[in-house]
Formats: sequence, C-alpha cells, structure tokens
Amino acid sequence: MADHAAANLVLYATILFSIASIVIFNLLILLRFLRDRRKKIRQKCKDEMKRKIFLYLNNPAEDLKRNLTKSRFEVSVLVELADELLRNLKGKSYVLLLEIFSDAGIYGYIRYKLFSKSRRKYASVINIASHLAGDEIKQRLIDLLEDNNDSIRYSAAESLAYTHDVKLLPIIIKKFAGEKTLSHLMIANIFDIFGEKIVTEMMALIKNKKTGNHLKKAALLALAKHSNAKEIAEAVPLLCNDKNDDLRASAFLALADAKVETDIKLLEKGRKDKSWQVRQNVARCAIYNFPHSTKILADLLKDKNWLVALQAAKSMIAAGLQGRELLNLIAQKKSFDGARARMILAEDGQYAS
Amino acid sequence: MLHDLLLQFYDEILAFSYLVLGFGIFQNLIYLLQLPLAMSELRKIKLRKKEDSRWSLIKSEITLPISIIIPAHNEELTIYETALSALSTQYPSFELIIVNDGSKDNTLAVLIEKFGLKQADRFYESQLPHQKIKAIYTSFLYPNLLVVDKVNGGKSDAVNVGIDVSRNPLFCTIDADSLLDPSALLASVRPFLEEPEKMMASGGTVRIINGSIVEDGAITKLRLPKKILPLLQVIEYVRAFLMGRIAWSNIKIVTIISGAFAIFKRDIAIKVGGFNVQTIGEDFELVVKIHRYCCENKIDYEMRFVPEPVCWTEVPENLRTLKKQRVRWQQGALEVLFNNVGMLFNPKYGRIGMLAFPLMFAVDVLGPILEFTSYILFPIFYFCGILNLEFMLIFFSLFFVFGIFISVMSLVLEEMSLRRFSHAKDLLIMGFIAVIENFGYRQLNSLWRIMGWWRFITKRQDWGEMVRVGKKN
Repeated sequence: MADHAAANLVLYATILFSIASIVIFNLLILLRFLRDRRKKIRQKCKDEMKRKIFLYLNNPAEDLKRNLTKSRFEVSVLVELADELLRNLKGKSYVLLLEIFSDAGIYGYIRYKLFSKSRRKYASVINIASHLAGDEIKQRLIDLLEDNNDSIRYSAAESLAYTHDVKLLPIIIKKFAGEKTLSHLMIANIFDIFGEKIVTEMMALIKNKKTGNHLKKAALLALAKHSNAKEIAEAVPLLCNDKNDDLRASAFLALADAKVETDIKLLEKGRKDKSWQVRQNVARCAIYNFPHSTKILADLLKDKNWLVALQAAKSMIAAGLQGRELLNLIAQKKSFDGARARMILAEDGQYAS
Repeated sequence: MLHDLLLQFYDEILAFSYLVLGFGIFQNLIYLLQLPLAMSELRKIKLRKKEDSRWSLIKSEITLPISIIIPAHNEELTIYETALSALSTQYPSFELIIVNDGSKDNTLAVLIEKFGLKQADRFYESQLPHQKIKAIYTSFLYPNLLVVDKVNGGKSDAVNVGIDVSRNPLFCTIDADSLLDPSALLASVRPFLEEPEKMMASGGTVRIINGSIVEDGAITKLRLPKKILPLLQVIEYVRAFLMGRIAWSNIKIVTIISGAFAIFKRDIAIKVGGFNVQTIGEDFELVVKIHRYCCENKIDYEMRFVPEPVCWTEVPENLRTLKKQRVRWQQGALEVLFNNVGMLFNPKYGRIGMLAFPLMFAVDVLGPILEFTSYILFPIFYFCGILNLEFMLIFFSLFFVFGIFISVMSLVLEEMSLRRFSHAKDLLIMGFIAVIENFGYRQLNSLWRIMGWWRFITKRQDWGEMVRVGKKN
C-alpha cells in the first residue's frame, strides 16, 4: 500500500506543477493585455506619422523634419514604419525620405540596436538596416549570417539582398552552401530579391558540378523567374540529367515554362524516366519540339500514369492542328491509348462548346 | 459483506491498483515529454511567418498544383460557405472537387443554383474502389470548381472518387463543415516543396468555429463559443493539435493527420489503395497504410504536422452528438490499431512500430479501460477499506490535478506561438475551462471511449449524423 510520504510527494508535486502553469499562464494573459494596449498606442502613433509623412511629402522637407519625431518612443515607432515605407518607394521620394529619417534620428537608434549584443535588440532592426549604406553596417549583417538563430540568419541575408549589391552574393552563396536549416525555398527568396542582376551567377551555380542540391534548386527557381528563354536553354538542360528526381522534374518544367525547344535526346531520355513527374513535364516540353516529338508524345499517351497521358494529350492539342490530327488518328485505334485519346477529345469538345 | 468479498481478492485488487497508478505515471510522463518537443517545434514558427511574407517566388508555376476534395453528405446548410471558403484560398493553382455522396437533402441543388453548374464530360481512369458516379458538373463562374454526384457510399468512398477524378500530384481533404484560412493551403504545402521526394502527407491545425461570425465563407469575427460544451472542446483541440501532434511530428512519428484538413501525395494514396471504406477511422487508417507501405518497400519518406495552417470546424453543441462522435472516434482508432497489430514492436516499421504504436496501444487501447474502471472501483475499494487515503490522493493527483497542468500548458504554448485567441479576456475564460474540464468532462470522455470499445467488440458500423447549426451564427 502507498505510504504517506509518497502520496504527499505526488500530490504536492502535481499541485505545484498545476499552480506553476496557472501562474505562467496568468502572466502571459497580463503580457497579452499590455501588448494589446501597446500595440494600439503604437498603431495610433504609426497612423499619425504616416499622415504627417504623406502630408508633408510635397512640402519642404524641413517642415517634416521638425514635426516627425519628438520622443524616443516615436523614433522606435518610426523604425517600424520606415522599412514598410522605404520598400515601396523609389528614386527621389526614397532619397528624400531617407534624409528625413536620418534627421529624425533613427539612424543612431538603428546603429545602437544593430550592434547590441542582445539578440532581441538587433533582431528588431535587421530588416531596416539594409537602407543604411555603409560598410560597417554591411559587415555587421555579414557577421549575422553566422548567427545561431535561423530567423536572424535569414533576415540578415534578406537585408543584404535588399542592398542590391551583387558583390555580396558570393558571400551569401558561400554561407548558404553549408546551410542546414534554411530550405531551398528560403534561399530562392533571397536570390529573388536581387532580381535580374544575378542571372549569370545563378547560371554559374547550376553549371557548377560541386553545387549542392538545395542551392541548385534555389538557383533554378530564381533563374526561372528572372531570366529569358535563351539563358534557360543554356543552363537548365544540364539539370535534366541530375540524379535528383525533383531537380529533373523542375528543370523540364522550367524549360516548358520558358517555351524553350529542348534537345530531343533529352526528351527521349526523360520519356523513360522513373519519376512520373519528370515524364509529365517532358510531355509539357514536347509541345515546343512538335512535330519532331510526335513519337515521344504518342508513347507518353500510353504511360501507366494517366496524369502523364493526360498531359501528353493536352500537349498534342496545344501543338496546333497537326497535334490535334495526331490525337484524332490515335483515337481511331481500338487500343488502350486510342480509348484515352477519344475520351480526352470528347472532354475537350465539351469545354470548347 | 462486500468488504469480505473484496478481501478474498486483495492481492489482485492491489495489483490492479498499482497497474492503474503505473499507467497514470506513464501517461503523465508522455505528456511531460511532449511539452518540450512541441515547444522546440513551435519555435520555428517565427521563421516561417517571416518567410510567408516573401512567397512571391513560390507562388509561381513551380508550386505544386493541388486538388481540394470536399466530401458532402446532407450538407445543404454549410456546403455553400465551405465551397466559397475553399475557392477563396490563396494558392496559385488548385481545383476544388466537391463530391456529393448521395445526399438526401438539397446539397446538390444548392451547389447547382449558387455556382451555375452544368453537366460536363470529365475523363478519369478509375484506380480506387468506389460507388458509381452519376454525373460530373462544372461551373462557368468558377472554372476550377468540379462537382461530382455519386451514389451514397460513405465519406471514404466519396474521397476516393475525388482522388480518382483529381488531376494534380497533391490532394487535400476538407470536411464539408469546415472553413480554410486563406493562407492555410500555402503553408501546409510547404513541406512538399521543401522535401518533394520524401514528403507523403502533411496535416494542419484544426480549430473550432462555433461562436464566430462567418460571412461569404470567411470568418469576419473570431469569437469563443458561447456554450460550455464547445468551449471544453476548444481546450481539447488545442491540446491535441498544439501539443500531441506537433511533439510527435518533431520526432517523426506522425500517425494521425485529421481528415478535416490533410494533404496527401496522390500517387502514394493510390498505391496503398486509397481510403478504406470499411473503416471508421479512415484518415488514421490511410496514414498507417502509408507508413506500412513505405517501411515495407524501404522508401525514404516523411509525414509532417504543420502548426500554423488553420482549418475551422464546427463541433457538436449537445452531449448526444458529441457522444456519438467520440464513440465513433474510439471505435475507428481501435479498428485501425488492431488491423495493424503486426506493426506493434516490429523493428521493420522503425519508429512507428517501436515507438508510435506502443504509445498508442498504451494510451488509446489500454488507457480508457484502466482509467474508467478505476473511477468506479477505487472509491468502492476505498470505502471498503481496501485502499487507503494516501493511495486515493496519488490517484487523484495523477488523474485530476496533473490534467490541469497539461491543459494550461497547452494554452501557454498557444499563446506563445500562434496567438489565435483574439483578446486577453478569451484567454482568461480558456484558463478557467482548462481547470474545470478535468472534473467531469474528462471522465465523461473515458466513458464514451469505453462505449467505443463496446462498439468495436460488437462490430457495429452505423454512422452517426452530426447535427449542423450552420456557420452563420
């Protein structure tokens, strides 16, 4: 039978745990209450600042400089607001606003926070730091690429990307080569911020055999968005033979999206690929080689995965009159692919009506 | 007299009592383990939120297209709002497939009228078993909407039809009484984009909509339910999703992905035979089948639970409907566990066989029996002088007091990560509910689980009908 001491121990321990959780929870409620209240005050202050900025933007900047911030609290609110405003401005308005913010004293504030040892402090200003030109700031952001916190590393890379300084790209790429936590999607986001300027670097990344899969995937995503058909045709086919299923599928998809005529040998090889997604994207690509890809499309119409067959039929229809004729011809056969062709044509007719 | 009778079985009673206490300690240790695991997983949310603000690149052709499948049976009250909510989801490429599973009410008529549906041809190759499709409808107003009218065959059968008709590599199942957060799909597809080859399924958090105001398929005002029963379920859902599932996702032993909101790879679902029409816990069963298939074929795979995506669902507001639901859930879980009992402690199935299954057998199979019998027998043993006060105190601590800690801590997790409760006042109410749910509601749940056991033993297969109040509160 349970003895008294053990019973008391268990009872007191569970009661203690429960009370501790209730105390923590109540503290969180109090924090939430205070946070909601502070949020309201900050929002009010933000709205007022926005009003002032837009009101004074067409007037002499001196007026705004005098009126914008009067307290440290207002400076901290302005820092929050500044990034949002600066991201959406270009040219003269951007320069003017930067000057005004500088006079309002936010640079000193940002610098103080960015170089602080407290993660909470520097985390709050990483995004806005990209607007502060200067090697010292850039170096600090580069240092933060080594931070233990993945969120900080990502923000630092994002901030560096927003400087649109292509010289920083090799540093970012070097850092991301060993990245374990940030996914290729996040890295692609960073590349995307640089925009068209880094197409050559992306092509080089893809062409380099030593590049890791996650960097290749990120480069492919960025390249697909920012480059032209010629550049895609030059770099992407290399990935069509990659060992990674997803990379091969994405490469064919990028080629199809860019409406690039792909080497027929690559399509032939892709038609027999083990991944159905690769085969489906091969069917997409084959439109741009038609009528040379007739046999490939006809074979894909017999594919064991009917989504591949469907894409092959759609590609034939998209290839124009000749493609439709081919599909009609297959539809007349009493075979398995003939039945598929008839069904797809019927459906297409239905939609056309 | 009873005392004398019980004394004859003193040793057995003592063994049973210690078994119950041992189980209580074991269960609470599992909860204690789940807490830090869930915390570390939820820590990643901040980064994801940051990433979400820069999804412009991913919202491109490279995003995997997805088919949203909504099985609907007698859902005339909710189907329009659900369809609108799904259609307004933020996702670059998706099709919505509503499967009318032989509804006897006006579900189909509502859809035809509201969306201007017209009968159409749609080519599909049947790869899964299901009842006959009567007609397929498309909408000129919403080109990505497809409505399939079929002979009644149950929820699994309806989803199988949806999978067959779908044309995308991924499909997402949503209950007909649920609403999707506009960004839910985008966030829950992320695991498939991050690990395109390995990822087989992902699930998201399901939250309770009762009490909130819904207009045109979107929540315009998020409120707590006004009735006590849905409030108690809010705590349960927070605990289940934010603690249990996230913790197990962290150590890669996800075994339950709620059918109310789940994303699966289409080809793996077809390979394992789709949803089983004979099982009640069809979502659980599919997940277990995928685990089984991948382990047996030595496929490197993963399933993940994503904390943020929120699917809002209506929960029962009266005891009768809630009882039916819980009894069904327990029966479903038992069916799946016993159908796959070969996976238990089988190293061939890796973590699932050696860790997830033993845990589920302990908590879901043995747990309810031990817990419920102890609620009845221990007071009798105590009043007959077989168990002493100290023993009862330990029992009370483990099964009542510690529950408060677990429930409140799940709220702490919620507030530290998602902050889905609108006001501090709501948190205060939920804190109170987290305490009182341990006195009465938890015991009631144990009783319903025992009833689920009974239904499992007697092999009853009838479906419980959920009484809908409609989302426009």
